[in-house]
Amino acid sequence: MEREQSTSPQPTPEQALAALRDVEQTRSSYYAELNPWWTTAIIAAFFCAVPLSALFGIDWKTIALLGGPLGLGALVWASRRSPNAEVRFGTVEITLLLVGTVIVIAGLMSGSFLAGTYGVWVWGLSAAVNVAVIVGIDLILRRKARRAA
Amino acid sequence: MKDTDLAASGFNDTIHAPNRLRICALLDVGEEVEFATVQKQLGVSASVLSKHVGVLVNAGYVRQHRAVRDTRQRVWLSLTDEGRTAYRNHIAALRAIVEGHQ
Repeated sequence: MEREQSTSPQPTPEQALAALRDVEQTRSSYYAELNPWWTTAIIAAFFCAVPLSALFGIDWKTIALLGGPLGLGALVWASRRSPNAEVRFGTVEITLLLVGTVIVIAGLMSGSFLAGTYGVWVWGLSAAVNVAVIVGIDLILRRKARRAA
Repeated sequence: MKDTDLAASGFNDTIHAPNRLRICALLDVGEEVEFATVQKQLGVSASVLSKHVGVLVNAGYVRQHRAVRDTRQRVWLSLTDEGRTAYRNHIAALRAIVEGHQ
């Protein structure tokens, strides 16, 4: 293995600071490239379909059990085909996604709980909330990515 | 130990070259990144990137994984454990130089 010996003088504090800024900019530029918009559309469609299936009297478990793995499989397949399609997450993105997931699950659970009392229209509200949360998170991430770029 | 001594302990000439530092920064956040993606992020030609990647591979800091996708040969780059440690020590050394000055 070839390694360069430390023959060059150490950088000045200004040069070291410039190098650190360069590193930070490079890291930001990596996160600036987000997953393609259609991945968000697939996720939103899936989380919209589950509550809507209950509204239209279709067995939601079938959609959840088939659609979940199929949707996830499609995303993984697409990310393997295109080198830039992989989903990239930083700490902020993971926090946002966790909060979004909790809201979506809470929406589905409350829909299941309230539908018996208030009628199946509750599922329509649940679907609208799910889509709003997923699209909202996507818009926040893209806005952040544009700033990073 | 003074800050400048601390800085000297992790400073790495192989990694410090601007393009190599940026390659390591990308691979540190991206785990495994496709060659074309690195090229696009750095804004350099394939030959320039190949040269720098070659230096990092020879130093044992970067590994290459080749695979055919859509009838095209593609190369994925990732940091080795040694490379990740060297990169992070180098960043710590740069920070120590900056903080030692303040």
